Parts: sequence; structure tokens; C-alpha cells
Amino acid sequence: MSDSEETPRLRVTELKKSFGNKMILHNVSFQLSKGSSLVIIGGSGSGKSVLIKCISGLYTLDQGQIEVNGKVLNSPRNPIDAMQQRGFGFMFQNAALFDSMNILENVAFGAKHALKMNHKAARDLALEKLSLVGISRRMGNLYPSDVSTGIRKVIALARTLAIDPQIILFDEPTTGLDPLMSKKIDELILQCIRSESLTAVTITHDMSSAMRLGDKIAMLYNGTLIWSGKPDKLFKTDSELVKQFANGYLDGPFSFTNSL
Amino acid sequence: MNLFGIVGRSTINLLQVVGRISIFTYKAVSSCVLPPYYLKIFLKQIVEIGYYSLPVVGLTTLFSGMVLALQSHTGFTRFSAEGAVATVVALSLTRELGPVLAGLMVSGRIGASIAAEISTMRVTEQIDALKTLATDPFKYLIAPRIVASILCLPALVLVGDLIGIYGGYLVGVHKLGFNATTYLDQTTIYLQPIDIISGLVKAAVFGFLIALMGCYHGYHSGRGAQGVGTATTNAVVSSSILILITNYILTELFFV
Repeated sequence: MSDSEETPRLRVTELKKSFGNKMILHNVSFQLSKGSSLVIIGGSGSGKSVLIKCISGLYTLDQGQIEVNGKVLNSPRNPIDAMQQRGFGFMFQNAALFDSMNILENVAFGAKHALKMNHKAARDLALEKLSLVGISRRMGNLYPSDVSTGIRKVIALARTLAIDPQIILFDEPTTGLDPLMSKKIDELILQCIRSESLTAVTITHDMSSAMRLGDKIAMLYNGTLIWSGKPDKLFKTDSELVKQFANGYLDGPFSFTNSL
Repeated sequence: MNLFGIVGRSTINLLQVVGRISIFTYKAVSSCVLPPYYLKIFLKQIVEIGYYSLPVVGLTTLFSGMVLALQSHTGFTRFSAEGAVATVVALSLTRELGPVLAGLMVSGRIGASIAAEISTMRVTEQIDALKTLATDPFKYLIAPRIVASILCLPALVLVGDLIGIYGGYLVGVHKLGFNATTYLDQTTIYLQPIDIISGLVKAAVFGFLIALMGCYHGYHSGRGAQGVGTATTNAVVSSSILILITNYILTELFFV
């Protein structure tokens, strides 16, 4: 999957990962240019979360390599160094905000620790990022437990943006949200990607969200990328597996073994 | 399943656990020594472990001192050695009861709390989130708790010793009819610095074990609510057992 002739912002080559005897990812490869957005769809247990955790450095690779701006990132490696070297941001499925900190402290945390900003600069940056995603200054004093799941995800987006990443990885950003909130989160994500020319990899099984967010869509099935292409080609593909998943049909070749 | 298979598998499992704990301990100790240091988190832990454990430790040692005075008096009157009550209370508390009881009480309070907090962070991906924000969880979460626990336990034991001895004094003077001055003289006359120092060293070691086991079981907890519950139970059980075993080893090192 090549986006242009220029050096890709992110290139993943023949990535393999297994846990014990179970192979989770088989030779996954793709590349993305600056400002592009890839959405990876797939059923539960297909290896989507493992894939982005491997890319981010949270999991070590068994085989394969990851390049950012043409520079190969060594593996195995310390995930913390990896995050700093790569300029990755990661938005977690359940937001993963720190319970012990208020919203402002959550957003300022990355700026303080990853960008080594002083307290005031980190706070100002946090307020700026919160404002960017539409969270008022007044809400900054609330704790994550005081706000809804949707707002927590918006705050998690602000926290991810506050470390000034080049590449953002989204782990099911709209899972568990109502359709309106899902649309709102998608719009915010698109707005941030476009305004800052970020490269994004999103994993989801929410097809509406995938169609809104992706310049390209790829499907992961049993740890293998079986299809990739433009969103408008998704429903016209010859692949029965992809067609079945995209349309949500129960009858077809798609194996539910991994999901059950 | 044959006997050799069971023994072999159990041995491998045991070695794996020992290996995991050893690696965890090495990383935890390195994180305590090497920068960066998170002073704010450390001070918060000092308050949490030291200040908030004071009532529990105080009450435990107070009543232990009182019971010890009563029991030793009952026993010693059988061979006319009532005069040794104050000395026995002081020596028992400073050498053994103070550190062990404080260790066990703090293990229940703090070991469980550390394990529950860290395992919840693990389950809700907050530990992964720390890594994605360029923060080492060992330095941010584990090191401050271990250092705070090592420093707080001796302080708690010192205060607990004084309260326990006061408990013995209350019973000795007001219930058993000892002369107050004689009781205090008997308390201090045979008490040597090594009795107090050994108790404080034990407390520091117990503090390390409590925080280490809390952090280890929390960090390696399973998924979901059951994982958090199991981590909490394992932290308290393992640290309590380690406290009792280490207590014997340290006693032998100090006094034999």
C-alpha cells in the first residue's frame, strides 16, 4: 500500500507476532505518507489491537521492522524510548485517563514528561489542546470519573495531541459511544489530522467510523491483511470475506471462531 | 499424569515465579536509585503509608503492650519474677512485636492498597498510557512507593514501640500496682541500642517487602475485577509470609 513516491512517514514491513504457540500477526506490511489516514477493520480477535501495540512499541516484535521517516526503529526495544524516538501518540480504547489526576493534569502530563515542559508551559499547552477539542477551561478541574465516556475520549484525544506526535494510533476510538458522539469524535479526529498534517492509523470494527476516517481502509483477518483500498471500493470488492464483514452479513465465509 | 510430570511442572512453575520476582526486584531497585525522581508522588506516598497507618499501628502496639504486661505478670508470679514484667514488655516490643505487628498491619493496609491501585491501572491500560507518554512506570509508580515504605516503616515502629511500652506501663502501674518510677527504671535498665536498632532494620526490610509484593502482584495482575482481587490477596499473603520468614532470618543474624 504505497501512498506516494516520497519517503513514507510510517512503513511497517513483514511484521510477525505470536503469544506462546499462537501466531497473532503474519507478515503484516503497509506504508503511509504524511497526512494520510489508514483505518484497519477486522473482527474481534483478528489481531488489530496487537498490531497497533506492536507499532507503538508497547509489544515487542517477533519479526519485521518499522520505519518512521525512513529511519528503522530497532526491535526489541524499550517502549518508552520508542515513543519518544518515533513521535507516536496513542489513544486508548477506554481513554485510559489517570484517575488520580484532574482533566487538566491528565492533558498536561504528557507535555511535562514527554516534552519536558515546565509546569506553567505544560498547563498552557493543555488548555490550548482542550480548547481545540471543545472542552472548556472550567471542566479542567473535574476528574475523569465526573465525565461521560464520550467526553473522556475527547480528553484522551487532547492528551494525545499535547505530546505533539507525528503519528497517532487510535484504538477503537468510537467503541461504546452513541452514534452522535461517535460522529463528533470522528470529526475531531479528522480536524486534528488535517490541521496538523498528522499520519493516523485507526483500528475499529465500526464501519460508519471507518468510512468517515479512512483515506484508505485495510482488513485484518486471522492476523493477515487480506484487503486494502479506498473506502469507496470496500463494498464493491470481490473478496467475499470483506464484503460479508463490511455489510454485516451473518452468512458467508467469515469465521467467528476467534471472536467466540 | 505421572508423579515425575507433576514434580517437574511444579518445579518449573516455581522457578519461573522466582525468576519473575527477581527480575522485577532488580528493575524496581534500579528505578529507586536512578533518576528521574518523582518527589511529589514520593511525598504523597509518605503521607499515605506513614501518616495514615499511624492509628492502626498505634492501636495494635498499644493493646499488644497491655496484653503482654498482663500475661507476663500472670506467668512470672508463678516463680516470683514479677519484677521482670517491664523489661520483658520493652524487649519483646522493640525486638519482635513492634516490627512484626506493624509489618503485618501495614501489609494488610498498604500492600493491599498498592496492589489494588496498580492492578486497576494495569486493567484500565493506564500503565500502558504512562509508557505512551514517555514515563517509565517503574520510576513513576513503583520506586516512590518502595522508598516511602522503606522509610515509613521504621518511623511507624519507633512510634509503635513507644505506644506499646506506654500500654504496658498503664497496665503495670494502674492495674498491677507497680510503682511508676520502678516500672520505668526496669523498662530502660536492660534495654540496649541493638534492641531498638534491630527492630528498626527489620521494619525497613519489611517495608521493602510490603511495597515490593504490592507492586509486583499489582503490575502482573490478570484481567478484570477477578485479576484485581487476586492481586490484592496475593500481595497481602505473600508479604505476610515473607515478613515472618525474614523476621526469623534477621533475628538469627542479629542475636545468634
